[in-house]
Amino acid sequence: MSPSARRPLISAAALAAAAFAAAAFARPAAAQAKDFTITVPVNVSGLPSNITEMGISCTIMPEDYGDGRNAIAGGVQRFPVSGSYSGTVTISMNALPGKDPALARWYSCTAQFYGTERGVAATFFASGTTTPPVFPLVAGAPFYLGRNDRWTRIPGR
Amino acid sequence: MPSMLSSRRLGAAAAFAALLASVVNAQAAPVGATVLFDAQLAKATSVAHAPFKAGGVEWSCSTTHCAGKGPGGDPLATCKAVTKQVGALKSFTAAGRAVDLASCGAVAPAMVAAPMKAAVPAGTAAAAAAPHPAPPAAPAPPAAPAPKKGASASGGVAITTQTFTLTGTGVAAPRAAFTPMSWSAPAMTLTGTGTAPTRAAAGIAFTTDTMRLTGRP
Repeated sequence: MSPSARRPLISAAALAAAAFAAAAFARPAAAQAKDFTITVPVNVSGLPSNITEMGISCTIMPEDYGDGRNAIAGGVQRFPVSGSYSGTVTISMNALPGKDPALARWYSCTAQFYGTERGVAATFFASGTTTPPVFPLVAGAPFYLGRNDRWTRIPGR
Repeated sequence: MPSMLSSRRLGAAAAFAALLASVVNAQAAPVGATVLFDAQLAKATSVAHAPFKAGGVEWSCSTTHCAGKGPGGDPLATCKAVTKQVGALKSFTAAGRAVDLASCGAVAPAMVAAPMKAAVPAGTAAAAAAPHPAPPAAPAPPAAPAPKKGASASGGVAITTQTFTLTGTGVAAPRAAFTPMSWSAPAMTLTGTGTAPTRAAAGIAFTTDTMRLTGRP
């Protein structure tokens, strides 16, 4: 084979390398996207004045959700509330280092309220149920704040 | 000439291999690499925490968050180390990536999602006390209606949960019931050894509305 016949081979390799390099440099931008995005609609009202913040935390687990150390990702949003809050809270998170997002199977989100009770910082509805400490609710009104002992299957997983 | 060509090919192959290696390294966890950490405090402090070193990272703090720069090989360990110094956190990121607060023990007690239990009837004592069970063979019955899911623009998992709903009466939390404890002892004696302890002991704090001591005549 003559040298001229071989040249295209080298050029192809160089082109492949250049293409690979371009893909590599383009990667950081794509890596900024989050592995999990959970949107939590929130509609709470009638909050007493001693409640100043609401918090929502979500956790992503693999098939074995019984051990917290298996958590693939977790995120928390805490935000001020005054009397009521209506809107959506978005929790975006990446898989923890060393965890594979493809293994995610379950998720759980919970909400709590923060404020003071007799001047001391306190958390309300921490269990996701009406187990104290709580504040009075309108009888019969819908109540749902999620519970971290209830896991929901990620659709399609 | 053939040997020259071979060296060219080898050169191109070597360059490609080097490029491939750099790409692989860029995608691998930056073990040992220096990264920026940011820890948002769960509760703002009235005075900024003094600079300190934890997890091999030098930290400086404002009243709301602490920032540090150091080895990023084990973000979870770094999170645990800084949590020991400053307490519960609102968020912790290493090189911009969030670390699970529950895993590093940085979540305020009520926010901890780590004590995960199998689904048990709501409102029962067992709901709070049940040990971690084996994972179910079939999906556990969700407490919420089936959520909506769609692919996010990034290709990640996108989920929408059930609406978190609550309607209060606007009335402040009721005063928690307090049951007085009664305790009697014929005599209380405390005798020191006259020597100082070799290390500081952790204090125990106990707060109550009223402490009443009634002596017997």
